[in-house]
Amino acid sequence: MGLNRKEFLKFAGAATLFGLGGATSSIFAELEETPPITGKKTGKRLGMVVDMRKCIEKKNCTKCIEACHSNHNVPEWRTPDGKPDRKVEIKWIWKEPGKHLFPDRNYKYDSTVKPDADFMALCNHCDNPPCVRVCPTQATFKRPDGIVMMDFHRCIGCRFCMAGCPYGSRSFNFFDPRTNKKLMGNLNPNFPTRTRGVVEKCNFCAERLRVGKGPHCVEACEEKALTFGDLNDENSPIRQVLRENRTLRRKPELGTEPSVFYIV
Amino acid sequence: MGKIKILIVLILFLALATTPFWVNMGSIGKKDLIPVVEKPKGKQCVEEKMYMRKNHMNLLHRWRDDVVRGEGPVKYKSHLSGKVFEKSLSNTCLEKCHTSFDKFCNRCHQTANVQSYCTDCHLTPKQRQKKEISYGLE
Repeated sequence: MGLNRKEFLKFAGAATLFGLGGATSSIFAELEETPPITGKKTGKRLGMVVDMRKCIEKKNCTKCIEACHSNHNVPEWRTPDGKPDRKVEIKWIWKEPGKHLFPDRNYKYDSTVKPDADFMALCNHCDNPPCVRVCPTQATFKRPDGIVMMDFHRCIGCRFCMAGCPYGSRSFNFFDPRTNKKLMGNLNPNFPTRTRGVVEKCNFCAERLRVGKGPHCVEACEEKALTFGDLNDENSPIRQVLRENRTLRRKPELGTEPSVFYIV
Repeated sequence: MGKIKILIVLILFLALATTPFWVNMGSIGKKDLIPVVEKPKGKQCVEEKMYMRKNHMNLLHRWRDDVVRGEGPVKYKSHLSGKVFEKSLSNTCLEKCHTSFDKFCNRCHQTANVQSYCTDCHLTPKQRQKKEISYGLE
């Protein structure tokens, strides 16, 4: 063809650069055009205030946990000797000693939080959720109204969200919930079960909010220790409670901006 | 002589290799392979039959994304009848019309070998009535 080797190499190099340049420009174009994953801002931010003063007195009360777990078909896995199996348990709300919820206190002298009393813990539905940030499929996502929601269809069970959550709110389905005899005897027909291999957590009863009702735990609490509502609405009952009381949040130094406040 | 031998063996090989195509010719008609599904108990589907045959999974996936991920409204207006339905597999499709997931959905899905794992999570009407504790295969 008349091209000598040197000329051929020059030509090939130029063609490669031209081709790569074209490819990189299209990749960058795609990156710029990808919209951020946010919904339309509705102005609502749902949150909860847990009044531990009312809750701490009742030592063996598990009404909120029972209401939540039974209505959401959450299986209970026990070890052969009948105790809850902490390695594979699934919990949407649970009891945790105060010193685990608020680890940065000097419990020798500081009596703000009772270290050994059982506190009620749940997903904090953070404003800046680390679990949403790390989810590779966006199976967990932040709704415009503030709820950090799970889409079980998209979850691939990588458990990166469990690693990302600093509060331990998330549980993995190590077993198929339908093999749990206790659950299958007590199924709530109006809510699906999950399969093995997905991560689940509290969803602030989004299915109840859709029909205008409140979360199960809030309604089940006899002492009315839980207040749920819109944090952005200045006139809501939850804002009233927050104005009148001093509250704590779990691990605020991490910058996750949790939406669950504790009155201790 | 060698060429003829090669040709013969080649023809035999081709015949053997295309066996799946000709061995059943004429014996099984396409009609026999279409599965018989249970008639639904409702009067009219959300959309018309041929549209649903082609697009039911697309419809369900869109409903799923609209309801779970909040990408759209929660109610669906049928193009066929104009009625408004709730976008729900369990509450609308299964509860109202196709009460047996196995006898309707699975018949075609098994024949076509297209896995549908909806009932791994979603409860079928029989399971909701607590009549059976099973995997939705009734």
